[in-house]
Amino acid sequence: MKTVQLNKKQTAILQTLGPQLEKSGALYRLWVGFLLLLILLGGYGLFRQIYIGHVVTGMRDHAVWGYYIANFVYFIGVSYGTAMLAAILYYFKVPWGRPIIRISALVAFISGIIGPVFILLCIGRFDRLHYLFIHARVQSPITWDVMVISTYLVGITVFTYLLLIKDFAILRDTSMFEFPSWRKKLYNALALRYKGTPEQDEQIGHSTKSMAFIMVPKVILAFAVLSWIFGMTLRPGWRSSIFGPSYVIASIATGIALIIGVMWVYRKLYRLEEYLKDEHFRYMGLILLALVGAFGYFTLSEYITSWYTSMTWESKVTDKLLSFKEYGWAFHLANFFGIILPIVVIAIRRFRTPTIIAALSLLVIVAMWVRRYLTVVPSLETPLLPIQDARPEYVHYTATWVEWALVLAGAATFFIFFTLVPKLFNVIPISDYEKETN
Amino acid sequence: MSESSENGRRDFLRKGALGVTLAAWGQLVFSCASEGGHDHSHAAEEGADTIKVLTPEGQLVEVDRSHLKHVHHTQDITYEESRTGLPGRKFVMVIDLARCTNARKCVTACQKMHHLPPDKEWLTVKLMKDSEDSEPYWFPKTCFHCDNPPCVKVCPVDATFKRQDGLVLIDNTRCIGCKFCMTACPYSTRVFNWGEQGVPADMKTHRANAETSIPGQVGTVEKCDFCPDMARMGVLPDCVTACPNGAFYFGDQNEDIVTNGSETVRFSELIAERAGYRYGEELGTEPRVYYLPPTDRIFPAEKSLEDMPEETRKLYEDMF
Amino acid sequence: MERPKSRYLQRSFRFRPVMPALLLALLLGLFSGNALLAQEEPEEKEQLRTRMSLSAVQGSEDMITLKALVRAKIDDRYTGLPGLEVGFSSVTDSTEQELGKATTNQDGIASLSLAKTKLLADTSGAFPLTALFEGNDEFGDSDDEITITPAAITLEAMEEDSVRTLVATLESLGAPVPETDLYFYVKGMFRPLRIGEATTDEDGMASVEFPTDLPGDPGGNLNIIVRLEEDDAFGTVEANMSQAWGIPLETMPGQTPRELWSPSPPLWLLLTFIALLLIIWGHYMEVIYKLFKLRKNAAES
Repeated sequence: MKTVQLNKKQTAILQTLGPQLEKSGALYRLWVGFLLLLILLGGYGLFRQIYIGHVVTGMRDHAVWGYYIANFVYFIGVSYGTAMLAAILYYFKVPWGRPIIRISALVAFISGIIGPVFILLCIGRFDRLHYLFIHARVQSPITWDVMVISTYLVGITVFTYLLLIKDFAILRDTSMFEFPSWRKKLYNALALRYKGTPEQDEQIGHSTKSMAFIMVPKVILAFAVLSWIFGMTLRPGWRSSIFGPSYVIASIATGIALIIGVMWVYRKLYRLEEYLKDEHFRYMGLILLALVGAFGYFTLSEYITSWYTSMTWESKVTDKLLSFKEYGWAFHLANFFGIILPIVVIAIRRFRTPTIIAALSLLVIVAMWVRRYLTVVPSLETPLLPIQDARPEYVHYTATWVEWALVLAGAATFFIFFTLVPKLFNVIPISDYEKETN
Repeated sequence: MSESSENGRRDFLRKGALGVTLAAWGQLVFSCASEGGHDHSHAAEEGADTIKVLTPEGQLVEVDRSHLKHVHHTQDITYEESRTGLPGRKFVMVIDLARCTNARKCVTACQKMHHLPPDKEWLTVKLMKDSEDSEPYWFPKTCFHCDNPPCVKVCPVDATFKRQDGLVLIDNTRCIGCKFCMTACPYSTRVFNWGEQGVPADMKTHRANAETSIPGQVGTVEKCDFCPDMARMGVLPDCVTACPNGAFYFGDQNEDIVTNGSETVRFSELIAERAGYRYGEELGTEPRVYYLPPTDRIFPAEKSLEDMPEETRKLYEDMF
Repeated sequence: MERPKSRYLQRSFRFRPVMPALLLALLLGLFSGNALLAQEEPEEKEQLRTRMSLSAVQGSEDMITLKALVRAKIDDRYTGLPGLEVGFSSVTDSTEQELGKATTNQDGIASLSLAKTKLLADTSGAFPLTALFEGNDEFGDSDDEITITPAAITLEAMEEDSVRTLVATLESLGAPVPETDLYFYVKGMFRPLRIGEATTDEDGMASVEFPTDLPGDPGGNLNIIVRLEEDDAFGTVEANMSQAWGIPLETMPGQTPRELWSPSPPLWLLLTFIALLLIIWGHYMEVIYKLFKLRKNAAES
C-alpha cells in the first residue's frame, strides 16, 4: 500500500518534534493538573451561577454586562483576527508565513470556542437557548451574531482541519514512533486516506485556498456584526462609527500578539529556532507595530472628538476614562503599555529580538483586555438618567469571585489547548517542507 | 373603584394643595400611610391567609386577606390576545412634574400590584436638575412604551414586543435573559431578575401570560407594563390611582381622553396648554409618555427629602 | 376661551360626613400611630368597626340601582371591604319590604338593580331605602338609609346649521324640576370626560353645545351621558345615548408593519440575511463534499 514518503528535512522536523509526541514529564503533568484545577473552579462558579442566578456575579441593573462580555469580545475578536491572518498568509502564499499559519489557525480555533462560551454566561436562561433558533428575530444583532459565529466556527474548524490532513497522514505512516493503537486509529481516520497523490494534493490545496479566500469577507462581516451588538444601541462610547474598525484593528493586533507569545513559548520549549526563526518574530513584530499604531490613531480619533465637542452624555463617559478618580489609571496605562510602548520599542531596529517582541506582545495581550473592559463597563455605568441608587453594587460594577474564576478558566482552557496540541500533532507543518531538499 | 370616597379624598387633597398648612398635612399623612403599606406587602410575601390590621381604637385585629383590596385579579385571556393587545386602543400617559412631590406612593403601589420586592422598582422617581443654576425637580419614570422602541428592535427571540395598543411588554416565558434590551433602552427602564424572588402564595398558580409578567421568573427581564390586565377591565394603573397629587394621567389617545382618577381631560388640550413634552425626543424613540414641565410646583423638591432616611438624602446632596 | 383656566378648581368641593371623620382619623394616626403599633398584641379577637354608605342611581327605563359601600378603617385608611353580604330593604311607617341581597365587590360596593315600579313609596311618593350589613366574626355591623324621590332625565341630540346641541329634561313625579345642575359627559375607557354643565330652567330643560372635534370609534359613535349628581332628594339620576358625533377613528391596520421593532423584519434585511447564509453554507457544503470525494477516490485507486 502506498504511503506518504518523507524527505530528509521532513524527517529532521519529525525527529525534533518527536519526543513531545511520545512522552510527558512530571512538570508537564503538574502544569496540566493546575490548569484543570482552574477549569474546575470555573465550573463550580458556573454551577453556582446557574443554580442561584446571576446574583452571584457583580452585574446589576445598570452594568448588566461585565467581565463575561469583555472576555467574549476579546476572545472572539482574537479568533477572527488570527483566522484572517492565517487565511491571508495562506492565500497569498507569503513565503515566511508557512510555519505561522498553523499556529495562527489553532489560536483562531480555540479562541473561537472559548469566546462564545462567555456570551452564553451572560444569558439568564440556559434552558431557553434553543429559542435563539426557533424564535429567531432577524432584526436583532444577536441573531446575526448567533448565525455568524456558528457559521464562522464551522468555517474555521474545516479550514484548520484542511491544514492538518497531510500531517495526520504523515503521522499515520511514520514508523519512527511507537504510538498506542487508539492514536494510530485516530490518525488513520483523520488522514482521510490521503496518500500524497498529485490529485489529492490538488484537491486539498484547492479546498483550502477557497476556504482561505472566503474567510476574509466572512471575518470582516463577523467583526462588523459583533461590533454592532454595541454599535446598535443608544449608548455613548458604543454608538460610534469608528467602533467597528477600531475593534477589528485591536483584535487583529491582539491575535498577532498571542501568536507571537505561542511561537515564543514553543520555540523555547521545543528548540524550534530553525523553523520559527528570528525573522518570523521580526515580521510579526512589524505587523504588530503597524496595527497598534492604527489602533492608537483610532483611539485618539474616537476620544478626542468626543472630548473636544463635549456633548453631555458622551463626554460623561469620556471623562470617566480620562479622570484618574475613575478609570483614568486603567485607561492611560493600557494605552501606554498596549500602544505607545510597543510602537516606540519595535520602531528601534536593534530591539526587534524574539524575546523583546514576545515581552511587548504580553503587554499588548493584557492592555487590549483592559481596553475591552473599558469599552463595556464605563458606558453601562453612565446611563442617560442619573442612577441615584443607595446600593453601591448598582452604581459601580465589581467582578465577584465567580466571574474571576470563569475568566481564569477561560485563560486556562487556552493554555491547556496549546499544552495538549503538541501531544497530538506537530506544531510545525511537516508537509509544507515536502518540496525542500537539504 | 369606590368613586365617592376616592373623590372625597382627592377633593380634600386638592383643597390641601391650595393652603400650605393643609398641604403639609397631606404630605405627613401619606408618609404615615406608607408604613401601613409596608406591613401589607410583608404579609403578602409570607403568603399568609390573614393579616393584622390596626383598628381606630388601637387594637390589632386579624383579618382574612380576601377581605382586603389589591389582590391581583386578571381576566383569563389567550396568549394570542396578550400579544396583540386591546383592539382600537392607544395608551398614553401624561405626568405632571409640577405635582410630583416624591411622595413615592406610586412606587409602593406599583410594587404591591406587581408583587415586587421592596428594592425592585419598575417605576422610579428621579431627582433631575437640568442645569447648574436651575431648580431640581422630581421626575417619576415609568416605561415610556416607545413607538420606535430600541429595546424591541434588538430582542433576538421576540420576547419583548410592541402591541397594537401601543404597549411594549415582555413575555417572561420567552425571555432568554440576554439583557441586550437593557443596554438598548436609553432610559434604564428595564430590570433583571438577578436571583430567585419569592412568589406570593396566591400567585403561584397564576397562569403566566405576556400581559402580566406574574409570577416573575429568575434570569429574565421585566419592567413597567402600564398594568394592561387592569386596563382590560377598565381600571386605571395603580400608580395613577395611588398618587396623592394626581400627577399621573392615563388614557387612550384614540379617545383623546386622559384621567388621573378624579380629573378627566382631553389629552391634546392638556398637552397644548401645559407645553407637554417627551423626554429624550432627540433620541428618536417616540415615547408614549408625556411630561408637563415642572412650573409652579406645589412644593420645592427638597421638601420631600426631610422625612427620608439619611442614606437616601445623601444620594441627592450635590443637587441642591 | 371656552375652557376654564384650571381644571383643578372646576369641580366644587363637596362636603360629606366622611370628611371630618377622615381628618380626625388621620390626625389620630399621625400623633399616636407609632405608639399604638408598639403595644402588645391582644389575645382575644376584636371586631373591626365598619361604616356603610348607601347611594342610589336612577337610570333609564325606570330602573334604580342601589349601591352600598362597606368600609373599615385599615392602616389609617378607609378601605372598601370585599366579599360581605348586604341586605337591602324598603321601610315605611307601616310596612317593611325585603328588596334583596348582594355581596360587596373588590371595592367594597354591593349593588342591586330594581325596577322602580316594584318599590314601595311613602306618602310623598319617595322611596325609603335601607341597607344593612349584619356583621360577622371579623367586622361589626353597619347600616345606612336614604330617601329617594323618583326622577328621570330624557336626553335629546339636535343638530342645526352644524351646531350640535344636547338637550336634557329632568322630571320628577310628572313635573319638571327647575334650578338643578346637570352634567354632560362623553364616556371614556376609564372615566367619562365632562363636556359641559347646565342648570335646568322652569321646564326642567338644560342644554349644552357639543364639541365637534371629539374622536369616536371607527363609526364615529360616542356614548353621551347626562347626570344629576348625588342630589339629596333624587340621588344620582342619569341617562345616556349613543350618537355618531365623533370623528371616525381610522381603522387599525390588521397586521404590524415590517419594521425593525415589529415581529416581521424588513424584506431587504431578511433577503440579505438569507442570501449571506446560503452563500457561505453552500461553500461549506462544497468543501465538505470534496473531502468525502477525496476519501472515496483514494479507496478506488
